[in-house]
This record gives sequence, structure tokens and C-alpha cells, in this order.
Amino acid sequence: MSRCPNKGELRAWLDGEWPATNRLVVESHLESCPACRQHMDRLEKDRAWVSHRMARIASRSDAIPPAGQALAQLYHRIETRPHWKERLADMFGLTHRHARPALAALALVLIVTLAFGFEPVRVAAQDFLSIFRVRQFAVIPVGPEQMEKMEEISALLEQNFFLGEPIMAQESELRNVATLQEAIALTGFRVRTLETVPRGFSAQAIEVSSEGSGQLQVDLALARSLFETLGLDPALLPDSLGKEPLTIIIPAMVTQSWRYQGRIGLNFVQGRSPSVDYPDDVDPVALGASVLQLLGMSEREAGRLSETIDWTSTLVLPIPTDVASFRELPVDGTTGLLINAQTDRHGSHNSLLWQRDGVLHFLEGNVSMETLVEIAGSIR
Amino acid sequence: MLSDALLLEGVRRGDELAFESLFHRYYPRVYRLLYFLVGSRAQAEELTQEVFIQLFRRPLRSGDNVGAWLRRVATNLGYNAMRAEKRRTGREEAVTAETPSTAPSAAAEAERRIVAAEVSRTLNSLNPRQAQLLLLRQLGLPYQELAEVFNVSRGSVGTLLARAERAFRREYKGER
Repeated sequence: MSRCPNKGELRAWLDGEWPATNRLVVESHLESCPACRQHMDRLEKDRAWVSHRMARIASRSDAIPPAGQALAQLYHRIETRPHWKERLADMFGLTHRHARPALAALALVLIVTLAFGFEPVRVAAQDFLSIFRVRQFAVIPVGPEQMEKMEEISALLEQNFFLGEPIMAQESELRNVATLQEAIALTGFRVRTLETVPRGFSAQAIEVSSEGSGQLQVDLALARSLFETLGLDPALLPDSLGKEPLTIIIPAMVTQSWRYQGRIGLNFVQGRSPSVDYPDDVDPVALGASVLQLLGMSEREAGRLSETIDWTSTLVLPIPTDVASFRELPVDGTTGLLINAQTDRHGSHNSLLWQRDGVLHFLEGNVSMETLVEIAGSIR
Repeated sequence: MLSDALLLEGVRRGDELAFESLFHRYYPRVYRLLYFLVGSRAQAEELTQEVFIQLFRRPLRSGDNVGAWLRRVATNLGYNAMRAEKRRTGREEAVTAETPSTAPSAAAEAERRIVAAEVSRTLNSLNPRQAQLLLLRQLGLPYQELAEVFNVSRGSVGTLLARAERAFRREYKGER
């Protein structure tokens, strides 16, 4: 071997990760090259030193639990939490068992939406704070590759944006109630129901999750370095963002469900919009444009689209075009968004979203688009 | 035995048997990785399910490397959970609770806990990718698999490991 191997090659050689045919070449090189031997000694010491300490926390294994049982539990979870509902539940904070939703809702507001899938974005200017509330929806079609990229970005955000978990001043709690009146008393808004459901569907449960609130601190240095890594301008995150914790309100929600042939066939979720307060020197249009660029739009295209979105009240929904299609249509005296996803386990899965009188409505089930629209028409 | 590519094709078409075959094929690896990261049986089981639910919900294309994808998702989930757990309780306690007792002396045990706490703190202060890399290497993943998990060439793994180990030593505040 005429040239000296680099540090990475030496490290690989130490781990026996060097092609067997070349091992002898490296060995003879090491014999004749004191500099490489010195490098190698140091690498070997580092490796032993680190491994010795890591072993204190990581020398464990466990008998693998039976796969059959795990698979049964997995199907149960899939059936009780259908795809679209789960995504929206995350957004609305229904899965309060984990701290994720609050985190997700917030991140979205900050990073603007797309990274977390379905998140709100931005803000009505006030004196010191801005508040985001959902009043309308906008759809951004994304291809499978961008969707994958979003997943990756989302994972990065979770790790690199906030200091710790949200501190919940008030935890959201789940409870089942027997009547709509009880749900109204608990949530404080006019909860409605569906008068007509298809034959074979039977009312199953009314579940109320109470309002929760908490605070979360942005780790500004980490968040900015993440932005740089993603090729975004770190200055989009102003100093004020790291000073005070952000406040998030997870609204009270009501879920009514109907069973069909032994499993949940229809869900109807209502709730006020989640809201987030954050400093008003965050520029949502610029931030939004950057995220749109991350999704593969050209700078000009992203800028133009971002200008047209009212970031103070628009929930931006990235729809994966390879598995779902969407269209707007009139519902409940306003405009709703119908999403048809083809990948659900039980074939076609349809969801309908709309906002009226400050309440978000989300209806979803394994029924045809026409049936879903008809069911929505019977809202009382 | 059907190839991963054929099974993925089946999953995309909604074939449950194909999904189940992939589940059985990769379940032990995913569980082992997650148990290693979070150190709790219940949490490892829950996260393992979360990983496969993601596969179920967003089927990969038939040319994708499903093993690498599962490891990547598991690593992200497990690492996040690990960090969250550390913040809550201090990881060393959780580990102690589940480590089979071999009746070490009280002094040795106390020393082990001090080191474990410092290792946790150090990992937490590293760049997440470096911490994940050290953990997965400690778990015994070969370079090829590490390269797939971190989306780098196999030839870069040595360099990344050397850097991560250096950073670990620098950050570690205990005895050198």
C-alpha cells in the first residue's frame, strides 16, 4: 500500500471491516509507517475506552416476546386507530398519552406544517404574541419521495428543536360519556351528531378528551443548526423564539364512533382548533416558503404559494399523491375537503374535513365517498 | 422463502399475509434493537409495534431495503424514547431495575451507576447521530448495516465512528 490509509480506513481495519484480501497490505504498511501506527494506537485506545463505558449501560438483552402475540396486538391497534384518524388525532392532541401531539402541533406552527404531516401554521399579529387557529385548509400534493423526506425531517425536528418534553399545566383527559348533553357540558361547545348512518352501523361510544395546556421551550441553538443542515436560513428563527417558552392549548374534542361488522366503521370528531402562541417576529411567509422549498418546490414557486396562504389560520395538509386523492366540495353550508386514501387495510378509506363556527369537523370511515358525503349531510 | 421485494409488493397491494411474513422475519431484530435502546420490555414492545405500524401504513416500494428502513425507524423512535426517559428519571435507574442481579458489592454497584449516569449524560450531549451510531455499533451492527441506517457509504462508517468516539471522550466528565 503506497499511500497511508486515512483515519476512517484505519478504524474500519480495527473492526475487521476491511476486505480480507487487503488486510495483509495494511498490516505490512503499518509495520513500516510509524505515523500510521501512532494513529492506529490512538484509535484503538478510543475504541476500547468508549466501548468499556458504553458496556455499563448497554450490555443487555432480553428474551424476544412471542411474535404471534405482538402481531395480534398490532392489528388491534391498527383497527382501533385508523390511518387518517390517527394522523388527525396526533394533530389535535387526542393521543395525549404521549407528549407527542403538543410537540407536533407546536413544531408545525413553527416550522410550518409539513414536516409533521398535518400541522397548523401561524398567526394573527397582536402586540407581543401571535396566535394560530385553524379556519381553513389548504392542500399541498406531495409525491412519495417528498413524503419520505418529510418523515426524515420530522424525525430530525423531534430530536433537535425543543428542550425537553412539554411541561403540561393541565393534562388532557379521556372519558366516555353516554349522551351528547354530557359531552356539551364537558367541552363547552355545541356538539353535533349524524342523524343518518348506513344500515348495519351501530352507535358505539362518545369519547370526550378535555382541554389540555402546556409550555414548551425551543432550543434555539440546536434548532438553528438544524435549519442550516437542512439548507434553510437560521435567521428565520428569531432570538425571541428561544427566550420564553411557547404556550400550546390542546382543545377539548369529542369523538363519536359507530361499529360495523365488529369493528369501528365510522368516526366523527369535533373540536375547536388547537392554538399556539409565539413571538410575532417569526415571519411565517418566509418560513412557510422555506419549508415548501424543502418539499421540492423551486424558490419562486414556494415564495408565490406561501404568499397566497394565510398562515394565521390555514391548516396545510400535505397529501401523498401516490396513495390518496382529494377534492373540495360543499358540506354543512361551507367548503369541505374530501380525502380518499387507497392504502388502508380494508380497501378504500374516505375522510371529510370542514370548519364551521370555530369548530373543526372530521368524519372518516370505510365507506364510499358518496356515502360519506350523504352521512355528513345529515349532521344535526 | 419469498424475497423482501416480493413481500413488499404484496404489502402495497394490501396482502396481509405478505405483511405478516415481513413482520415475522424482522420482528426479533427490531425488538432486540429497541430493547437495547430503551431497556424496558414494555416500552420496547410498544415501540416495535409503532415501527411496524409505520410499515403497514406507508408501504415501501419493492426495491427498497426494508431491513435498513426498519432499523432506521426503530433507531429514531428508540433514541427519542431513550432521551425522553433519561430526562424523566435518569436512565441508570431504569437499567438497574431490569438488569439481572449477580449480587455485586454495594461499592461496585454504586460505581457502576455513577459511570452509567455519566455515559447517559455524555450521549445526550452528543449530536444525536453520533450517539445513535455509538449505540448501534455497541449493539454489534456491522458497517454495512450502519451505512444503511445512516444513509452513508460503507467507506464513511469508520470515519464517523472515529469522530463519534473522539467526541464521546471529549464530552465525558468522569475519569479519563
